[in-house]
Amino acid sequence: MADQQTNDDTVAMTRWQLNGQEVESPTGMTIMEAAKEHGIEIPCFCYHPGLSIAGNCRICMVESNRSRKPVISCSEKIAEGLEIETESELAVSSRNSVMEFQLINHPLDCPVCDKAGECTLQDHSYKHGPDRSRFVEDKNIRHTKELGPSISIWGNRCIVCTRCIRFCDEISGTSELCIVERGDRSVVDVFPEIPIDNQLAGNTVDICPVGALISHDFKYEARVWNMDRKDSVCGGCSRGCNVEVETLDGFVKRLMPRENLEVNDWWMCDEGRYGWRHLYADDRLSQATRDGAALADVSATAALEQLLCESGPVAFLIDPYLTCEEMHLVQGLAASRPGSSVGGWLPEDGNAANFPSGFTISAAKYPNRAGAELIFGDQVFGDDAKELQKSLVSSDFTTVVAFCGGHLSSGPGESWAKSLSSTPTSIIFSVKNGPWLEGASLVLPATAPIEKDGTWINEDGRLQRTRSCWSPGTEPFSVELVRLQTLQNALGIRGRSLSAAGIFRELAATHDSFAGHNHSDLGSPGLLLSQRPAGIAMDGGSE
Amino acid sequence: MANHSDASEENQKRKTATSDPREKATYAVPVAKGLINTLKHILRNEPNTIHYPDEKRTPYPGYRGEHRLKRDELGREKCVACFMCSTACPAHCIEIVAEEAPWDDREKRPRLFNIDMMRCIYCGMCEEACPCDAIELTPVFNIPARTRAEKIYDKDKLLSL
Amino acid sequence: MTDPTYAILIAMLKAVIIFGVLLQIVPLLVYFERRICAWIQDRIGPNRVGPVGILQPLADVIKLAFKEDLTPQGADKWIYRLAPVLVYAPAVLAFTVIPVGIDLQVATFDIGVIFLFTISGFSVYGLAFGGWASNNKYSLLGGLRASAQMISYEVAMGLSIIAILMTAETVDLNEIVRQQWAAGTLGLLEWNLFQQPIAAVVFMIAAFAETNRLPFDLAECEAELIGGFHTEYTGLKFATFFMGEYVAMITMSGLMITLFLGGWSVPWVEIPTDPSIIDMALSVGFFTVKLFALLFFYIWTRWTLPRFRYDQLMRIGWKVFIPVSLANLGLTAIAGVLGWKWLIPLP
Repeated sequence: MADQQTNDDTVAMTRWQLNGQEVESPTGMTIMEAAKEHGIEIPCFCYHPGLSIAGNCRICMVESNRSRKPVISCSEKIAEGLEIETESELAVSSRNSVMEFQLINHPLDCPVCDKAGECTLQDHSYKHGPDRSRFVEDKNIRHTKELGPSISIWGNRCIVCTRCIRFCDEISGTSELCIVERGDRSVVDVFPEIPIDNQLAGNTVDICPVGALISHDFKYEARVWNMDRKDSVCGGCSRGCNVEVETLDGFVKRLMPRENLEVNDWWMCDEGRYGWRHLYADDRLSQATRDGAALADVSATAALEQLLCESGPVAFLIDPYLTCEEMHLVQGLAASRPGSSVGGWLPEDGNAANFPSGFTISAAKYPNRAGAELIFGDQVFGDDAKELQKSLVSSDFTTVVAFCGGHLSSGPGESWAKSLSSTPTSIIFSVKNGPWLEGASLVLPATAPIEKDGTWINEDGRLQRTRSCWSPGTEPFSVELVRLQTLQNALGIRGRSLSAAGIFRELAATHDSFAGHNHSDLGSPGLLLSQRPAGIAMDGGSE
Repeated sequence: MANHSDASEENQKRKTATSDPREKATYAVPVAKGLINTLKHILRNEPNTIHYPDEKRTPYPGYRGEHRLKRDELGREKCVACFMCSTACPAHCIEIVAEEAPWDDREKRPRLFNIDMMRCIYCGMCEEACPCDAIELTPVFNIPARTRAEKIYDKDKLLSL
Repeated sequence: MTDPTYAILIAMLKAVIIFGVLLQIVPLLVYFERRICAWIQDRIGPNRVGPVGILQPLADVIKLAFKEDLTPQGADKWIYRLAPVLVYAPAVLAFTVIPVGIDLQVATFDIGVIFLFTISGFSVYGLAFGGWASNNKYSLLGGLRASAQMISYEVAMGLSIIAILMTAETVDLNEIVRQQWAAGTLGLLEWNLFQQPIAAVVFMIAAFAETNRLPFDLAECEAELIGGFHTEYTGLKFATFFMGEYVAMITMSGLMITLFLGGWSVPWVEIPTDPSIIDMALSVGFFTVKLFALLFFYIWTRWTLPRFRYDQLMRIGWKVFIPVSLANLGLTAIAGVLGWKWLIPLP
């Protein structure tokens, strides 16, 4: 975003000096932001780009020619002729002193602190702090308590930066948190009887620069440096918040929001954040079955091939959890069977929420309705679906292939379940066990949203890349992307299996809306797709 | 080029040197020296080996044998499950799962603490990394096992050593 | 003495006693070899079986006897079985002509040296057959190396002995021993070791090569060929190869003693014309002492020197030893014709 502003001629520029070098920055920027643009990172605790400026931690002090004392770069704005030194003796010694001061009452219990490894205090202490403390007196003891159902505070570790308090005031608008006590005894707390229980509360743990706020979900679960991280997209609702899935030995341990100023800023909701536990819930389907009998993975594929090869026209029931790539494969299968038809089911809407900051939670609790409508047509969840249900009830089709995804959804409704079970041959890809599997000929375990590799289109029409939380080599054979391509190979409509990127290239070649794009184009903000023909498809996002 | 020709000249020299029959006579001197040397060893007869199972060598101070976990004065394990040892371990042989400690003076303790002695390289990094002085390498080196599973020591075993 | 029954009885008695003792020396030699190698390497050596480990060779034999006797698939079965015998038998047979005491040998020939050479030349067949019949490329290479090496060094060895025979003007080994005797300490100088030093050195080194001992054990050469010609042999077949090697070592040492080190005589004791039992026992004792000294030298060398490269081995054999021993032979011949007594011992 910042790059765009500097390139824009209409933005007024200010000339100033940074570490002795003449530089230009857009007028009105703070010293810290402008310095960052010129490649100089000034340390900070209380500053957060998504929150108001508090200026209370003082670690960002730099030397200025306009002041006898050092100034805090997070709130001080640049001005014509301003000369800033970030590495002068005064700046360095100021940082050093502030670090020593911050650590006076800090317990230094890094070995048992869950923040250790991603702790700003640790990093800054290592880079800017003194190597030992001169403090020999007793440290203050502050409270350790639960602030809400999912968050606790370790008061001893708190450096009172007030990021969490500003978050609750400005982003969630719920204002549960406050500072109690004075001076070196001050600490974050909630008002009596009012726990912190808003839908965005988990973000306060992310933005806490130290290990003071700890989420119960992740407490003692893993050390952060041992985990693998994958850039993914949350499938909990149609917003498609960008997330980082962190896994330990192949098991998901937590989800963290990933910065995307076009979608979710720096935040995500607790529903999506803690939803990963459903991946390992008891009702998760892990075993392929044929008429109730368990099948090995390979025989399941063989059974799928056999059923599809023998069938006539096939009814395809899709869900909005499929990626665009998987939908493309379904479309290819439907096209190869004359007389086939495609419809989709939609999960029930949940609660929507809007927050003062502009962050929204969508009522549509699925990630890719827009993609399905782009690929199968506007009516895939409307008229097409109604028609499909009608013909299923009247037994026009002998074979149905249904996708029942979503680890957070309650699955297709009763009417769909009934029409599925009334079809003689029903093949169902399902994430969970549920009533819709009753009477199914072939049940195949399916992947949940964060286990999928591919692209989704969120409710704004933004095409986003999501990556599987499985590390290469650990993904099970039953990934739909693999199953469907194996099936296409068996039916003779595909020569060889491709990766998600390869299928997206095919999709881009056949669908105008995706024309000219490929996976590597989709930067972190994603691409805003317009539904106009190729050539003018792009309407924003990164170049 | 100059270097190259130098090298080839050198090579040539070496070749002619080794194929010089006169050089064979010089075998005699090293052979004699060697024979005298080995004869000295025979006459000295000071074996460096010991009758191992009968005599045992006292390990040197700082000898790194099998691990043990230490207990504090109250008999509780000192370990706070900070994962420093498993992080420092170059062989990735330490497996820890943490849980909340039931005591007031600390937060965490290990629920699971397994060391795979078959994988361990006995480098002592875990001992150095430990902030609580909870893990220690003992001089014990001769505990055999019949299966690999027996050489995966769990918390109880490590504490009892 | 003319009674043939008596003569046959004596011959059989000699054969049984000498061969019996010879075979008993082998395990003893194995024990010494292991003990001396341990001393050289600052170890203790065998010490578990029997007092100071003396029964270790017995344990080895029991182990070898109970090992499974394997014949590789595709091996030439009969030749494979024949090979160890072809190594072992010539070594034992060759020993028959070595005088271990005053006129005391198993078989009395006038052509002792020639017989010895003829017989010991057979052992190369054993190695080559073993290597070839095993149906194993390493064995084959080992067998090839062994034959090439033994044939090459037989030439140098033969030439060095001819020089001795020329000065001795006889092939009777007892006669050669007698010629090397002179009274007094200076009588030592009558030994062919000092009279024909070049021949002695060439013979000694060629003997190492003939018996496949380090530094010339290219036929086994663990680093390159696993076990060489005996890679595929197990159990008692392997033991026979093993015994053959040690017996060959004893035979070669015996020949070396007889030709170069004064045989069963020592300069301080006069050779009696009509030896009593005590004289006989003394002479056998002298021979045994010399034998063990030489065997010690074999073992000592083995644990001191590294193995030669194959090309070095061949070069030394053909380009050094053969010319040197030829020159020695020529010199001896010229000296003999011109009667240069100051140069060579003439009878």
